[in-house]
Amino acid sequence: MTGRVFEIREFTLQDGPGPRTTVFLQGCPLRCTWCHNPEGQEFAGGREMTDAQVADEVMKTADFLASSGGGVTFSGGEPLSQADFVLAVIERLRKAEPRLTYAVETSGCAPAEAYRKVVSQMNVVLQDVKFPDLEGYRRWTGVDATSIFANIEWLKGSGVPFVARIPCIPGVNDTREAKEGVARLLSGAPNLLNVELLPYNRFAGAKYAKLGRVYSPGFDESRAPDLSPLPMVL
Amino acid sequence: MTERIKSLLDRTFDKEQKKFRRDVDWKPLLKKFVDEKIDDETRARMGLEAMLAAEQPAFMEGETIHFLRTVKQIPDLHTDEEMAQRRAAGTAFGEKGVVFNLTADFGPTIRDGLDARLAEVDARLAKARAEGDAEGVNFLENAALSIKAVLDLADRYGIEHVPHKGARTLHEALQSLRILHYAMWCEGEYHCGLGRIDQYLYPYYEADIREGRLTEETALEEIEEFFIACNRDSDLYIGVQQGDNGQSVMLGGVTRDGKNAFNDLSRLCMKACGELKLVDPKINLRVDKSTPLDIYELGTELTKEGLGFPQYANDDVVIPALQRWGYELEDARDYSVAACWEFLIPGCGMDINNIDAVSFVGSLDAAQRNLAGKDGISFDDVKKEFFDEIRRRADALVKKYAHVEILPGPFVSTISTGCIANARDLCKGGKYNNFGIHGTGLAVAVDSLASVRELVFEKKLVTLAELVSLLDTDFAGRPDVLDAAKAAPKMGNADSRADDLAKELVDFWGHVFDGKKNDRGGVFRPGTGSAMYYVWHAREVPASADGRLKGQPFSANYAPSLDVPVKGPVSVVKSFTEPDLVPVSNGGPLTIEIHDSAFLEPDGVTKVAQLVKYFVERGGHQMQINTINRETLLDAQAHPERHRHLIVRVWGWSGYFIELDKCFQDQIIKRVELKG
Repeated sequence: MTGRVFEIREFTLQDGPGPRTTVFLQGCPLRCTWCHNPEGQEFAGGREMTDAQVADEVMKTADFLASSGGGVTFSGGEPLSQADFVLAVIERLRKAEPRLTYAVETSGCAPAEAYRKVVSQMNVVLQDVKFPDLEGYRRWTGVDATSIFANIEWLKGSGVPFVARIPCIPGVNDTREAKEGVARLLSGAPNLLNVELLPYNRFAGAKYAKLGRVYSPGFDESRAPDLSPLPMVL
Repeated sequence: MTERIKSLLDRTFDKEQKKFRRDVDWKPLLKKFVDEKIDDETRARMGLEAMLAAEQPAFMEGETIHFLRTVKQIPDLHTDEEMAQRRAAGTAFGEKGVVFNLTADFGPTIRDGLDARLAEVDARLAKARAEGDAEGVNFLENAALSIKAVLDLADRYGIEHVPHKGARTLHEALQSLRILHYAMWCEGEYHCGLGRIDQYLYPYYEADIREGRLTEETALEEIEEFFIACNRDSDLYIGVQQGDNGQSVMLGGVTRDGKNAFNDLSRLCMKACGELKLVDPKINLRVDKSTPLDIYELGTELTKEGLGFPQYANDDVVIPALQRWGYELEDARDYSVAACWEFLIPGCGMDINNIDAVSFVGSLDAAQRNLAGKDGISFDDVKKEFFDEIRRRADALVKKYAHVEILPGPFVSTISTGCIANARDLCKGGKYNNFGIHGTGLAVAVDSLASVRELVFEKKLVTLAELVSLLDTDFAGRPDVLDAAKAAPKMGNADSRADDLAKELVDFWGHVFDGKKNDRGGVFRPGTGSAMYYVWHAREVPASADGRLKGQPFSANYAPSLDVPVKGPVSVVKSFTEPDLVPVSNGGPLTIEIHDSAFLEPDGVTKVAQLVKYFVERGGHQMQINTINRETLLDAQAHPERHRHLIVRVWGWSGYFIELDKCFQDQIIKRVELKG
């Protein structure tokens, strides 16, 4: 089968355990106003590749990934929008190199079935949590986040280890209330490994001009986000 | 770091030592040499005597390891006319002609003291006189006077016990090493390495710890003081560029009997470098497939600091390579680097490891021109002509260096294995007398060959003759050909269409000197190094078929071409370990750049260490890593005063970025441009 990929990047060091190769899949249902990979948003963009082509590309350096405790991370775009393609690539890779580990970096915006079948194949999930409520998602990412919250609830009970990643956007979701809400959302998850606060990428706007688009994130970019940790919620 | 060390470090960096310096006009001495037709051996001794007599003891406040250069100039021993006459008469010299790119056998003299060496010289002198061996007598007389000149300066410094007698403590051993090393420079040798300090200094360290004279902390302080001392005079030891001074040390590896040699002192030396963040000494680290990840992590901590070292050498490749060239196994296990990366055995090597270089890109350019007018040419014909041209150039070098002379160094001979016993200066030959030949522009040549195959023979976009004329005009009028050239397979992307050609080229290069000997009985060792030739050779050729335009430099050493957008460091390692590197292990590291953001994550060090380990496990020979950030380099060009401490790896050594000539700065910036 074929999928759409906008980049395969090797020696990614921030996408899961060990050194990894990250496959960036094209297309995302969200339109976060601060997105720093806008070239990955449109489903029609990127390069069409077969699952075999992606697996072959990864396999060129898979001996290194395997011997270093690393593996492959699927990111995007939203990788779960191409769930079957991701699974097809994994199936090929498992046959060729059983020692690889798998991670997915997802917004969680996907049908429950797609989410569950991919996540259950993962060694770790890098789960984005942008807001504690539907309103935040609606206003800043343009989606109805009902499926996101349902998927996160399922993830908490799935037994699949996950890292919660919170993009801290100045004046948008770096408030104490928002963080308390996220903390409550994540509470009671025995498989939560870590919470990572990612500072807003100040260079996010750089790619927009190249795409003929205007970057207007709708918040004060010059202000540094509050990166204080999530409050403890019992 | 202690307050005392911090103060010494700051004042050394601020060049306080320069206040002791003065100029000496050595022309009258040179005139005397010429007028009185004084022989080479005697000149070398008289030069050293004059230099050391002119030196005045100088002390920096707080130092306990002494010796500082106070005289800026080292005496010239020959006029340019004299050297030109000798060259005209058919004698070849390596660079300036003197002993250089060499590490002496410091350990035994640190252990025994110079008085013991003097006694040996005297005893051997008596024998030489009895035998009527005039050359031996001349060498030994001058050797004895050279030792006395060194001891005289040590006496004027008021240093006790060493270097007269053998060292009893790590402190005395370091003091002794300092003067022996310093005396080599004063004798006119250059690119003087320090060798395996963690091996020959270990007995003193171990005894001091065992007997309670030192703790790990105080031992670290001793090493740090010695390392700082290596940076005081280094600006007077200029190679092609400032920083290119050959003050290398080799850590780890195996002992002469094959046991693991990485010890507590190796660890302390690395710690000292990490704290001091100085360019000297330049750390090399020997590893093999059994080296645990934590040792790579120690090394990577230095990489993270942006020091450009350690440079790794793989025992699994280098030891068999040296054996293949005729080195005995025990000696091969004792290898170090000469200055940058050329492997040599300290004390018993009079190898000239960088005597010349073959330009692969120049060879391919010539081959293409030889065939351009001919009909019915196949790609295999191009490849064969390319290899034939390399062979012709290699043969020419063998002929060029059929008769090489080296100018004497009576003092360095006394601290090198076998010279006293043989009653001959080191310059007459050591145990090993091999010549190393670099090969430059390897990746550019491979990429060009891959491009010729694709453009001329597969896509038939141009004929070979058309391509050759396009190279002369930087592809003028044919942007389509230039684009196709750039899009052709490139080495460094784990792409077999380029890597298979690299394998063939490396294999051919590795055997092209087989069976050839120099007149000292030595062999020719091909390597993957470039030294400064990557800039020089690039000026000699027009554009190349890979899409490189005229005037653009080659990559240094063993690395992807500069304009190639490689997928990342893993693919680079993979491609560059495809060839069998044993036959080309004269020296010449894979050089990669890592963006400094790699180290933002807490486990960044582990992941980069794993990459180095992967290189070693795949049979890589040598590797160096630069940690840089393009913006920092550009800012340093614009505002050098803000970046006095910025260190970069150049071709086989680390130097301060702001002290490099612009062409070398620009090459480094280009190297990182495509890597984020």
